[in-house]
Amino acid sequence: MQRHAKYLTCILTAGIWLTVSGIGWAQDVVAVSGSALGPYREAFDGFQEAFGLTVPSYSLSEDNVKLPPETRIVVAFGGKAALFPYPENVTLIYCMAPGIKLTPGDRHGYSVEIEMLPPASLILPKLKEIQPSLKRLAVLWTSESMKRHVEELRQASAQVGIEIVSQQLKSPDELPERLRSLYGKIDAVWLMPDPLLINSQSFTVLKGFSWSNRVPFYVPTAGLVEQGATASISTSFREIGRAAALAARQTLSGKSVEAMVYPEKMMIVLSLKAAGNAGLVISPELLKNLDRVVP
Amino acid sequence: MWTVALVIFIEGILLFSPSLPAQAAGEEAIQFFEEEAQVSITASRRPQPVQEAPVAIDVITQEEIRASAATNIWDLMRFRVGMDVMDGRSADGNRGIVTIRGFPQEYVNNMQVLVDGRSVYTGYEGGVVWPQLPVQIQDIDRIEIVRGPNAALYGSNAGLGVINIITKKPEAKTAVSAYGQGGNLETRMGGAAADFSVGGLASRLSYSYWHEAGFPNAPNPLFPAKDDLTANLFNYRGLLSPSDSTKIELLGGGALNRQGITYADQNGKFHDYFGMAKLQQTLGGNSSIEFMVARHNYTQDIFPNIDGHEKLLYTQDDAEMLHRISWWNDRLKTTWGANYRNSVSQSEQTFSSAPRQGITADSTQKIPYRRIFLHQSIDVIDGLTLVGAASVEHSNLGGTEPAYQSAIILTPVKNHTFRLTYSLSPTIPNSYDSHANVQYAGPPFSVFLHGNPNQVSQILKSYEAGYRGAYLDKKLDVETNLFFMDIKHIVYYYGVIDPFFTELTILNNQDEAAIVRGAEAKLTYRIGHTGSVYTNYTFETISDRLGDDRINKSTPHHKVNFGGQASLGEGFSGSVNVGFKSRYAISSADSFQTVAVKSYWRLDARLAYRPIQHMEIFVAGKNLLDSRHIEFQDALEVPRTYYGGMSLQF
Repeated sequence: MQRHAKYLTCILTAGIWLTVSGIGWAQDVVAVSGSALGPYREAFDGFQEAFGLTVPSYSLSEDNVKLPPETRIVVAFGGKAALFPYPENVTLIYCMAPGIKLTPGDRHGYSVEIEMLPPASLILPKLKEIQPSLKRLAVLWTSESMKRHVEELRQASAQVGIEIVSQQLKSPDELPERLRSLYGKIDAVWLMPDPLLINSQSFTVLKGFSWSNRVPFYVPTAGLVEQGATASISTSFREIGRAAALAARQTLSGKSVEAMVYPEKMMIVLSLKAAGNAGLVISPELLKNLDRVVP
Repeated sequence: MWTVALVIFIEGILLFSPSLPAQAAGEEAIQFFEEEAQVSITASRRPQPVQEAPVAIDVITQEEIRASAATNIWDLMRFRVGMDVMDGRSADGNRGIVTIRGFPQEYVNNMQVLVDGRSVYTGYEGGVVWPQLPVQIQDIDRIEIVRGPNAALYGSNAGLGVINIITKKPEAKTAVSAYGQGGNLETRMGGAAADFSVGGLASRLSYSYWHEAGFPNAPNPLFPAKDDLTANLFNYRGLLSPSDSTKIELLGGGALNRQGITYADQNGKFHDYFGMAKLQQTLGGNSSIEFMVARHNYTQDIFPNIDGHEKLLYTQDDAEMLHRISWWNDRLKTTWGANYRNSVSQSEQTFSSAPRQGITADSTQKIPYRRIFLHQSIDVIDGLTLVGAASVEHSNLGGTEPAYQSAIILTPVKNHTFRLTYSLSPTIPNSYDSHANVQYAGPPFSVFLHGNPNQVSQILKSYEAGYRGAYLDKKLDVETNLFFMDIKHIVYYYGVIDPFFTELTILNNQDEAAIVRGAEAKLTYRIGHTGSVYTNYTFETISDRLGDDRINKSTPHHKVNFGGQASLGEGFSGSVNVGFKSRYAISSADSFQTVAVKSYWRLDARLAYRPIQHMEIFVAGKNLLDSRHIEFQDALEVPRTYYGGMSLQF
């Protein structure tokens, strides 16, 4: 047994080292994530896949972050990781932080934001495809960081014949009252990826409003469709990670990267039950074009 | 060798398996936004999350209310940490004994209860008559239980804590709901609610009917008791928003009850009405002001009482102004305001000696209260918040009384908060203890009860340390509290019998004082959106100056509760709540009768089936482990009850 223990120790050590570090090692790129929550992990997996080389990674909820001296790029997953005080000479690529918009005043080094949403010019036609009768779309948001997205939606709306009814709420507590005032005046609701607005309670209120009044409500992540939203038009977390990897590679190769990057692929997920409750009739053609259908 | 092979196999799986989560689960999507919200709150200095409040708060959510087997409001609070809830009857129509951190008794005079911000504490006997509250379970949105003194913000009589019942606002659509249920003990309940909107005024109207034969008498009662209840409750809530910055709310309601009276084969009529108007105006991005006026009218008509017909009229008028403002990027938050209350108690039997001449100036007691308060919190640095609050209240009972609260809230790591609190809270005497002048004339024996007009406010000092943390991706909430309370000037009733044994005179003084030591622990694990399991434990021990069983043995030392609620699939859902109380001795309000209560377990459960979205069929039971047991000194036993019913929602 003693002899076997030696074997075990050697093999375990080697295995763990290989698992954690990988055979390839990119010392000048470091990944930092806010916690081990599934969405961050999924985005990190997408990053690793696209980046190819394994990078040192830290979780702020578990690790004491000490960047190697040669670090040139930090890829941050989540708002907490994005706000971490990195050195000025480090390029920060941050994603999965919908409530954070870093400006030059916030940090001195160069920062790249990976957007969570596809461009507004792509979202609205897809909504029209799902709901051809859509004319007035209520857009709900709270955080000031959503303002630019709302303006983009407004600019893109004229081309598809949709009127944007922008509704900024001071807090999720205002949601029932605001929905009451909107009742009968809108055809659908678009929920911005706003952390100050989306929580269990507000989501339940929206779901109840949608299902009771047959008003579809669309969301910015596929996971919310499983919880009862009508449909999502979004970028997958994995794809967001891929976009971060692409930005990191470009930075390493000396190419300039825009301060704001949209992931390439978007996906549409629809819930048949929620769509039925919201009064939507889904054509077979549309069903074929969907990336995923939740029964 | 087989060990080596196994390890190599496992290492191989670890090394070459694809990355694990292919698609974040739906629940994690909301958790993701909630986690990001924490960061955004810090970044934008938004108000603190509830878990960082300077007091211990327990929130009974809408889901928990819907899933519970409760048929009344106090049932909803029965299995919560730090609570003493018993089925118990008073001579004046109360049916639920509810306290926070000990001292269960007929009138809990140092616990404040609010309904939508309006105090329903009556200054007549000092306490809340729970079945008289014009609040229907179908209308309750949530209940917030604040454990520990919070008088600086909520006013006097909030020494043990504050229960804030918040009702549903009118829905954003036309909606109708109805329910009906029936069971043993002649239980019949039914009700309906409608939401609608006319000309910008959103409204909710609701009505409930409640009848039950009541609990059976305990063996060999001194007096056979009646315990039947027939209640009609109705409510209105209107919401008008003339502009984005202005909100007007109108609330009104009533409870018309007819019920048997314990200790006697009698009936009583209990009517309660209220009206309230609120105006909320946003003055700017970080400032809002609120005005509230309310009237609460309560009549108690017991016939015949021991000494003839007894009628009580109680009226309470409230006016309050509240201003909330924040500065310095929300790091500094101020709430200040003032309120005025005038409570008028009229009872010829309580306040005027024989011969009785109806309601006159002699039989009327007025207590005007005036109060100003200031509550201030400051985020000194990230993770460290200091809270300070003070108020001054003046009334013609108790004089001028200050209240203080201070707290240090430390959040060294996200989702882990430590709290140290000191509070001083006064309990202003009530009209009965101060001015009662009751005479039950013999022969062969006469009883006189005299209040003590020299009463001073009861003073409660509290020292508390608490921790609240979240684990396992915030699915597991952990909360612990240690508290120490020093209470002075507790009202103590005593009797004096004349040398000829023909007269008993009941008097009161405030020589009693008590020290309370306690600990609370609560674990809640969330399963999905609406499912959860929990367990909580409360330890409380009381030592008193006079060594009187009424104080030191009235509170169960050990309370354990556990249970949960979950969706069972195929349209079924269920909830189970189990509670244990160690033995205690409970006394009547006048201290002359004490009943030893053995330790007991209690199981309440509910099973529901939803065949279609708009309909739910359910069966439920309370006290299922025990055919009957005693919880209070009211000559009644709490039996096993079971019922079933249906609810509809469109």
